[in-house]
Amino acid sequence: MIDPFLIKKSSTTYDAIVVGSGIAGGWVAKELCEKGLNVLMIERGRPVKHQQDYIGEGKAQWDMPHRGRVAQQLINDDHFVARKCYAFTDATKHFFANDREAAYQTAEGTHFDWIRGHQLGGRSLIWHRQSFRWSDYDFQENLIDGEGVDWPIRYKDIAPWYSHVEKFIGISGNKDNIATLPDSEFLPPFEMNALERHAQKQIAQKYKDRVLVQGRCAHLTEPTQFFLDQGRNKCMARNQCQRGCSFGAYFSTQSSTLPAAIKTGNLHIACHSVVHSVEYNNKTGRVDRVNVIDEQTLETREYKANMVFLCASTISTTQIMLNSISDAFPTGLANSSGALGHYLMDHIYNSSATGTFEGFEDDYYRGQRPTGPCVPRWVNLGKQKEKHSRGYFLRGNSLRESVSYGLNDASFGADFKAAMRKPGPWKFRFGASGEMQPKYENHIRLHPELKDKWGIPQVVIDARWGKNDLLMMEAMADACVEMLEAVGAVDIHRQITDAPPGLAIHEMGTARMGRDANSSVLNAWNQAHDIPNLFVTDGACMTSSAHQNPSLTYMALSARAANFAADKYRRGEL
Amino acid sequence: MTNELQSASRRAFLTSLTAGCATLLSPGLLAGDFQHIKRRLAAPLQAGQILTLAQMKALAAIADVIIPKTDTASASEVDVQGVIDDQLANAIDAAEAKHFIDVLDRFCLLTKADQGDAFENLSSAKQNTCMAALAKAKAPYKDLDSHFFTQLKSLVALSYYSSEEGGTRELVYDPIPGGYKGHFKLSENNNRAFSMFYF
Ligand SMILES: Cc1cc2nc3c(=O)[nH]c(=O)nc-3n(C[C@H](O)[C@H](O)[C@H](O)COP(=O)(O)OP(=O)(O)OC[C@H]3O[C@@H](n4cnc5c(N)ncnc54)[C@H](O)[C@@H]3O)c2cc1C
Repeated sequence: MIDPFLIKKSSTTYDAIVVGSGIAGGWVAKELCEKGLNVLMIERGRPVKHQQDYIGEGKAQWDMPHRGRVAQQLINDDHFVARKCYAFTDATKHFFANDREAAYQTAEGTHFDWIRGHQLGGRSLIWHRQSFRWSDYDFQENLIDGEGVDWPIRYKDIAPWYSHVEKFIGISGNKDNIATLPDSEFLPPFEMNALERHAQKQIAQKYKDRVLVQGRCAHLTEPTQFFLDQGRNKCMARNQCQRGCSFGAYFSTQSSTLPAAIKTGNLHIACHSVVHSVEYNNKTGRVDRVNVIDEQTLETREYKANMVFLCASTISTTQIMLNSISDAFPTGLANSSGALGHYLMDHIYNSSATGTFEGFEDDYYRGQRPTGPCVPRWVNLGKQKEKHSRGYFLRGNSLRESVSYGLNDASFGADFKAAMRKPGPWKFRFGASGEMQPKYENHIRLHPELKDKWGIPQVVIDARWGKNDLLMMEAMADACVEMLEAVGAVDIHRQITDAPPGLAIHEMGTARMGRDANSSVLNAWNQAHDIPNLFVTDGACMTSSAHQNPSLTYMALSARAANFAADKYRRGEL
Repeated sequence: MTNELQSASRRAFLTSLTAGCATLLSPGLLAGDFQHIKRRLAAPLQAGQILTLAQMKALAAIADVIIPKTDTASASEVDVQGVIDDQLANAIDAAEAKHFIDVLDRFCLLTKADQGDAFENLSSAKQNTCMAALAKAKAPYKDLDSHFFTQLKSLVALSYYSSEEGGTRELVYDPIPGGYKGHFKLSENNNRAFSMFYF
């Protein structure tokens, strides 16, 4: 379906160029195309065709080389970072970037695992699809502890755009009416299992400020005709999403935004096109060209447009901007504020606790659900009451293991084999997701000498947890234990890992939005303060990180900015 | 959409998947018919990619003590030793693999010294006695790496339950559940666990 729209060289001046085809780029392209603009999407990776190119999908483990594990040689050569991602397997490895070719550095004494997907669709193919709205608390968090600048928008500004994207992509969840986790436009939620229903009751009885609610995710639990008409089907609960889903049951660029953009006839796609830089025209005060290096041949070419949206993902977008030097912007595109590259954030995923349950022996579940229940944020609402500022929520998961529970004891033989026919005892895990403070010192810069395979200066990532983040880790681990005790778990194991930032895979900031052009890169419409026809709508734009998974917010901001830009463009104001 | 429609579109979709994607499930599995899967007889033992013929023989015998033949195949019958050899050669960190093989050799030597013959030549009762001693870190295996039994058992079990026989005949294989059911009883599943991805 995408073949007719793929281009290589072009002398056309497009209405808009969108760099990146992931979650943000897909949304911008769809909205601009639907508004009638002639759009070029530039993607560094290969085309990935829906259904056809999901080569790991549906494979049984006995049909996979090494039973689904990735060969050590390949890991050592090309995927020494990606291997740390839980979703990296033999069935998904082709959707993870080559860490050797797309090399980056970390500053001495720091570490950052940068997990990337370099193909059409980006990480929309491999994300975990947990989708939560932010609330007004989140947009005001920087004001409370004074770290970072104030967001130039509030919940009311983004709420209609959340609705806009949710109706299109499909979010499953329950209407819970919780101030810290506003409801989306929901499809029916996934069911809770017996243990979760029990836990939900226990928490309701014991706490006034806490509840257990079902997780919310971009999966079609009961697709309406609207989704079926797009060729999208009900989630089969295989939980193999990251291999690609031919049912189109989860949101990805391929299942959702790309077909919509293509349907307009206004989209062209340049794959294998690594963006090197964006050209600023001193005379017009606008950007007008994008310089590209061919991913395969290393040849250079350029594409022209009347406006540019950067959606290459947080760090890649800022890498492009830092590499786009001109007399007007000697330290990076649209960087008159000096904020470009700074205030890098991730989520704090280090704290968790796991407990076991006795009983519920005849209770089980069928299928592997792509989400799990959560306890929405209850701490520090509106003002700091804990030792740490900001907040977190707890993501839960309850299951009965198969086989793995029987590996640590001394049993073997026919009795062991007979015992393994049954699932293990119930386990419940709470893992916390906490907000990391935006700090100037957490930043990315370009290496003065080292280049990647395409001759582009490598990024140096310089980030570490701050004092508040570490305090929050302790509090979150305590909270996980407390909640497990409250629901009746035994044999509880508390854990705080020493993982550095990166592995939550929610990198944010480095070209933040703000009210003041002196301290931020983008305005309230994701438009560069310095350059009116330049927009950034991926995670680079984030002013703070909140505690919720961010991609739904990128989608809403992308759709909002694209509609703003398209309307202005149509009126000749851009 | 009604349930009927949903299942009709699911069926149609599955057909298109099998037509379109070479990677997907065999028609027998799609129809839920697992009985056609015949027990695979292991080929005669040979040296592996990293293990010698002697090590493969020992491993096959050890694996059968951990997962013996019952109404389903034993571990060696589904070539667990071949899967472990492949894991050691390709998927496990080289230093860890070397350590595992060294300890396996040591186990074999200690057994021979203690029992007068190689593990694979011992009677089933003697093999069980040796394995029980290993599991509890008793003589003659007191000084062997204390993690060895768990590593061995894990590799054997995960290789077995990730095989077609283990995954579909010992456990319930449910590749396309059709949606998630949170209200579901184990007894509805013949008191069996669903098979999972183990590696
Ligand atoms: C395993 C995993 C689980 C996750 N789970 C969740 C979750 O549950 N919820 C959630 O909200 N988020 C989750 N995320 C994060 C989510 O994937 C990202 O937030 C999201 O994909 C970001 O969208 P994006 O469009 O900015 O970037 P991407 O989706 O990464 O897309 C960027 C695109 O730009 C292209 N590109 C990059 N550089 C260039 C260049 N120089 N030139 C041309 N093209 C370029 C890339 O190839 C890519 O296609 C998860 C991520 C992973 C990997």
